[in-house]
Amino acid sequence: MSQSPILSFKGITKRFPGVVALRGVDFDLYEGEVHVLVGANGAGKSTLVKILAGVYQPDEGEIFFNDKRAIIRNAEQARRMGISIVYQNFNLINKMDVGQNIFLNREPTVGKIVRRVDWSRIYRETSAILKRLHVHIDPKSLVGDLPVADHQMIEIAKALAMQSRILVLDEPTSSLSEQEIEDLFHRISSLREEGVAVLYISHRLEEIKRIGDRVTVLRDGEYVGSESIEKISLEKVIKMMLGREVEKIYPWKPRPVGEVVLSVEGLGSRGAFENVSFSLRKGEILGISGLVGARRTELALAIFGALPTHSGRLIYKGKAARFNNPGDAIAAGIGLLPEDKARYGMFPILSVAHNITSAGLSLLVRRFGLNPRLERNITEEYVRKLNVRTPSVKTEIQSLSGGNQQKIMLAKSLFTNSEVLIFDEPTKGIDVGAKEEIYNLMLELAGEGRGIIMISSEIPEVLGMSDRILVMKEGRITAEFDRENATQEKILEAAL
Amino acid sequence: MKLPVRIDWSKFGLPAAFFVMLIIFTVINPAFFSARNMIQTTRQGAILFLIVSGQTFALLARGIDLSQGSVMSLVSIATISSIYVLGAYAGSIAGILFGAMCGFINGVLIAFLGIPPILATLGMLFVVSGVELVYTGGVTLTNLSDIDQGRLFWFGGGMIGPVPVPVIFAIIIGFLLYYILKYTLFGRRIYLIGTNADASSLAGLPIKRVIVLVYTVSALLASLGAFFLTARLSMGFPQLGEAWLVLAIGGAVLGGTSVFGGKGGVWEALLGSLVIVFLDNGLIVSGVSTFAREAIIGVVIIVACLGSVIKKRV
Amino acid sequence: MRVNSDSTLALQRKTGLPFELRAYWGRYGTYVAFLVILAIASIVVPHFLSIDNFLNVLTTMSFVLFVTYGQTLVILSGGMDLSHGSLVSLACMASAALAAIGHPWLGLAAGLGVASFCGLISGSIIGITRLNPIITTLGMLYLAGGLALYFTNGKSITGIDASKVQDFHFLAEGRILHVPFVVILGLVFFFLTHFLLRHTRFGSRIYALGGNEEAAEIAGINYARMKILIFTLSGLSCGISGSLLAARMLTGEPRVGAGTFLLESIGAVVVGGNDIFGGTGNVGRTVIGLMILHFLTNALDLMGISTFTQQVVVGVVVLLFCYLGLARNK
Repeated sequence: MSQSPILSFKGITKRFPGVVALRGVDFDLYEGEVHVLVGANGAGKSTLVKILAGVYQPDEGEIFFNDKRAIIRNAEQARRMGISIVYQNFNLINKMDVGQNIFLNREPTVGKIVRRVDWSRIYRETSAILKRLHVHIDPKSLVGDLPVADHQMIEIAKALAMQSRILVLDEPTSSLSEQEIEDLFHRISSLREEGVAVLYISHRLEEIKRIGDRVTVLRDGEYVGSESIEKISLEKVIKMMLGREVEKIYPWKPRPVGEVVLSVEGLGSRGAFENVSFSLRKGEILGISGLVGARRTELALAIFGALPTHSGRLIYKGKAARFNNPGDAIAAGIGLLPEDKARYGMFPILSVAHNITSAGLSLLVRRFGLNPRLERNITEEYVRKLNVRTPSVKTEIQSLSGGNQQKIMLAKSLFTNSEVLIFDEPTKGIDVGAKEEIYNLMLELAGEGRGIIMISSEIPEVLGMSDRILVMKEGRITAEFDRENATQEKILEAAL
Repeated sequence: MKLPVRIDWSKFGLPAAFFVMLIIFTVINPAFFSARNMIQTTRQGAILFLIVSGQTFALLARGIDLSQGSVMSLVSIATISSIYVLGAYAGSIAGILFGAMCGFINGVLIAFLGIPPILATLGMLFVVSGVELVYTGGVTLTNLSDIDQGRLFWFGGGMIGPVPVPVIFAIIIGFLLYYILKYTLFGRRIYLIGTNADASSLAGLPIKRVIVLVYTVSALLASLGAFFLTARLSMGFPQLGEAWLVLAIGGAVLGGTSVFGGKGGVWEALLGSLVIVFLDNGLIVSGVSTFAREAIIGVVIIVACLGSVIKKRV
Repeated sequence: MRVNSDSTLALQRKTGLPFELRAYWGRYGTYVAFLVILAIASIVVPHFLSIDNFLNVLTTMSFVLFVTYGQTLVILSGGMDLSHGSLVSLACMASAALAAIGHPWLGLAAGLGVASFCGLISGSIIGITRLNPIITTLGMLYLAGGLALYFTNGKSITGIDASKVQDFHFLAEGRILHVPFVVILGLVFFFLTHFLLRHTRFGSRIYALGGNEEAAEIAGINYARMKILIFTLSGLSCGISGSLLAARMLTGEPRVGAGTFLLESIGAVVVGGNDIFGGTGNVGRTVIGLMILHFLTNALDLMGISTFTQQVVVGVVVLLFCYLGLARNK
């Protein structure tokens, strides 16, 4: 690490109507370090990043770049300064190939009168960069045909092609499998050795120890502190993030478990999974672990009636059941919290109330049709019970925070009185404080006698909250553990 | 100058502009505000309202219905032709049903064949207009018997008291549509599907059924509009609907319905229709020529839509 | 939130065609369809397979061809231009007006200029205020259409003295070595458009906007500037068609574009196999698409089927290709 920081924020303040996003924040970033930035949702991390990216201008404070005062006026300037941001939702163009994406809008040209794009140079340089990152991708392959992990690397390659000195990674591992995360960390390390400054933003606190050199915590727009990773404990970090002690990250408590409510026997779906069998009891939390690509989501969708199956059967509440579409499953009492809530769960411009009732509209029908007052009363009750922070049930759901949105999605599956709840990555992208609330809710629901299937890629979460654990790999169940017998190593072994 | 009360322009902007426009036209030519003119204009307004409402259904479902114009032409021909054979009342119903059937086909193309609404309805636009051109060879249909003509004319040109018949129908249908959108499963589902089709599918909504119904309704309402127009003229015009498509979409969006689905409704349709229809009439009364009027209305639609877009961003 | 690629797979609709057939159709379907139509027509329709007939079709086609070039640019960038019919009429009127008073070349410039200007306006509205292209170009369709009728109160412009505008007329009716000049012009512009799309940064940007608008903007592509340029070029393409039509008919027809221009311009792009949402495709496909439509109607014509029926057939064919093309994409 060099002596003076490549980038320094001093007293940065940024205001928006009604909220102060950043308040007098100081922040240093050195070359050749991996600097982790943590904070709850709304703590100001993305505002900080956007200022770095040139999208926002600070209202107060100064930015120093290589000890010189700097103003990052726009994205182009940020780029010229060597700052690259890899956002959580990648900004790649699926219909174009790797080379085209990496050199997008900066294509080298050849010729004086008519400037032709120099495609051969583009593909040559792309190959070189990919090689440097130890990534084996054909530069002419369409981005849309490549797996998500490769998209991550292409974004990083893009940053390198622009000769970035500062690389910001926003939640880089949320869609990666264990193996891919390992690979990513290797490459980040080699970037570190080259002297690149990496700003790493993540909610996955377990990862910080593996990859970070220093960590900075933001809370409510304020700078709480920075510390070397070696010297700090996770509990301390959480305390800095939330401002309070968190006794147990996973508030698991034992509870009475009843009879089998759902039994899956030899279920198979062509091209997705084969011969899956397990049972779920009332009051039980069944965790399903596995790598990304293990087809757990497909299993959930198939049980829910959204994916056709070619073999096997379901026994629900003692009787053979067949759900040909989600409507059937919902009517029978099965609820699904989809993994990608933005795409498959939420109705962004519609109100909280409309979102909650969307899967169970028939419950609102009275003599003259849908009853708005009934809708309002019921949904207000859910908002109260789940402690959702919203001005009213008429507010557009898209103005709520991620954690609150997730709770509304939960309310949606509760509204239809589901007895079996399938949660697909219920705490993905949600900060520690909100995670705690969701875990408590899960326990409460299980305590009421519902059966819960929790699909999660975070092994600690699966270990922390499940009563029993299934592990899937490439569409098959490879292991089953009771809570007492499960360990991280055993799960990983079964998953890989 | 700070007003004592905060005005929400996004809600009151358009109605305010509407009244200002009425005032301006009255100043230019006082005959504009005469009872006779107003009543005539509401007759046109009723017809546009029906068509715009139909388009609104399609827009709410995140679609669009470009075939409304040619469906209207088809209905005009079909109605008169049917009346030749079935008499005024049965013939009218037959003609309207013909139009609704085109909407049904649209719905099937979109819901079951997966063709995007723009392409499906654009294709239907040409297919339907081709079909009715083949049938008529471009010739207007006249020669209704006197009885039939009399009965038919009442629908388009008659009055109940001081109010034109189409307006009465439009009011009743308007209330019906409002009720459907707000209080029925079908209506709510349209908003949900229009906002997020994937989430709707996972919420167990019968998407295909709803879409087919939406486009059937859109065409049905356009058919009703065409029916009243035809009734007044008592002739079958092969080009009847040509000019109405832009007004339908423009009126819907102008009134506040979003092209991206999930936002809008009957009130918006009413507002948009009234603005367009009184603008058009005001221009006529002020002595502006037909073609200039077309151009002006085009401009106004764009400007008004711009207004709503800009307001959202500011 | 990031989409897990597995879950996207899970919810994709599947059509009945087996996978290999679908992929094959996607790449080559259009070309196959074209050859099949030519083959069947050659057998079934008398007089179809002759150089004269082919040249005839290509000539007629060339007048619409330019418009499809513009539409290709617009659709590849993720938009759609519904104003084409009116812009062609407007250009025709402008050209004819000036030709009638003895300034045909000024007329050409006027036709190109007026249509491009309309495109500029559409593009500005779409680019700066982000108003939906459908509404904007629909409004422009109405606006330009009204204007085309306004200046002459709906009447055509006649009285162009053929002897005085021979060079101008040559543009549309002349031949070089037996090949109609318009066809040559069409070919030239084809190469220009192709070069623009494949070998310039501008072209890359067009594909980027069509592929993922958000990502394109984050990469620094100026949305407003691109839309303005694209729609201006689209307008220009209509200007070329309109002026050529004026040169051919030696009359200004205010409703000349009101027929199937719009259907052909969008239909050609779609039938050719370009992605209607943008990001994939090329202008070669559009040309094939237009050829399919024109040879099809030509065959129907030679069989004695009325133009109205032809319109129905074209509409159905476009719908059919939409369905098949989309079946491919899933």
